[in-house]
Amino acid sequence: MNAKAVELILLRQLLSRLPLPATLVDAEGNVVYVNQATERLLRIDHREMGEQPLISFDFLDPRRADETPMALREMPLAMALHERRPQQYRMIIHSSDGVPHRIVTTAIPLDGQGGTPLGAMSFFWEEDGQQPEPALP
Amino acid sequence: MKVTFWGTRGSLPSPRPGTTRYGGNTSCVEVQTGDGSVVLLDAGSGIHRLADFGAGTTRVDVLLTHLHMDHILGLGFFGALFQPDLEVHIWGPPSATLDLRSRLSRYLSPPLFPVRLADLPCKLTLHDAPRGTFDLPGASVTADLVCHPGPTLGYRLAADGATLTYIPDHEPALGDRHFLASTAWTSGFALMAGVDLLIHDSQYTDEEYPSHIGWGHSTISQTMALAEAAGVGTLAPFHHDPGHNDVQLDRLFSAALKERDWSFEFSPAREGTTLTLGRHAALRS
Repeated sequence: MNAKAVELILLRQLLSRLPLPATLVDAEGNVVYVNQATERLLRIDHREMGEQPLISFDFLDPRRADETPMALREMPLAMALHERRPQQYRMIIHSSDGVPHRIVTTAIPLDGQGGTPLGAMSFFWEEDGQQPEPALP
Repeated sequence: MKVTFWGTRGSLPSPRPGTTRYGGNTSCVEVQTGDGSVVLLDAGSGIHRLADFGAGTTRVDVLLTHLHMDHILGLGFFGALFQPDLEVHIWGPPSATLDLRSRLSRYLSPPLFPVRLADLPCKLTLHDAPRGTFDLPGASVTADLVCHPGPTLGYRLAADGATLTYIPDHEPALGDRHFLASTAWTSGFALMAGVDLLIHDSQYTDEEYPSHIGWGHSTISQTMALAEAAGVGTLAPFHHDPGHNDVQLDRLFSAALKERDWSFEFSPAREGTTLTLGRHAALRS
């Protein structure tokens, strides 16, 4: 693994404390961190999966709010990374066991000092009204 | 490469009878390379002891890790800034809002200081240090941001076939549930990997750290673990807490050394001492 920028290191440490699902991708589009709330929702173990490109997360099977299919590269996190501006969508994703989840997701690009692109991050909320579970200790 | 410690203390100048061996001046380290070039690391109160560079010196570079007062306190008393023929280059961390001149001018101007930065007689150039590798006369420098409140750089210098990393203020364990479990996710690790000499923050004891989380510093034991994982040749614990006197530091370092059979040489930074770097050794003179 390449050495991570201190901005990503600090973000990871913050996100690891949050009960809200959150994901970090690096400037190359690799998913470098998902917090435990995301792992719980998507039923994945990111440490076992290792760093993989976002576009390889086929099981997400993303769909627009009207249920029409969406390409992985059209997901807000990928769009924020490539278009360098914030994105917010209502959409459907699937966990690794095939269960659909209606979510609202917000993604923002991450720039370091001097405007160096570092990647992007996203948060998401389930629309079914469930409160996020507390962060693990 | 000759490395001289002119200031080793953290946070606050602490001159008193109990601190004469490790020193009471704040961060300043002089690096002299084989071709006579001079690079200074930080400008704490220790820089005041650097009175004369000799007639052959025409340029001095000062690398500031960050702009907390204990790292710039000595600038106004740095003789080189008052020598009209001397070229002085000051490098510091970039900020998203103000350039280095504007930020340093907050200190080097009335009412905090009687002389304005613009009125200094030397040939002064200020630089935002680029993140990455750049060349100075006699040395190659790599800078990267590290975990400490406000923009803060660590520096790795390569010269004369030797390497040195200087990270005086650093809290790599901040919020990390599994410190050092993944070195790619450890702040500053790439800067220090495999260096001949690591000069690193070791301000707190394990007992003191819990009440200072987020203040931006390391414990002695965290620094020892970092140095071991990074495979450094010699570790020089630095930025000693102003509350720790010589006897306490002796006891803390002795206890840390006994914890295990460390793979590195151990040479706590003491004001006024010089290390001469070889490939995998540092010798005190």
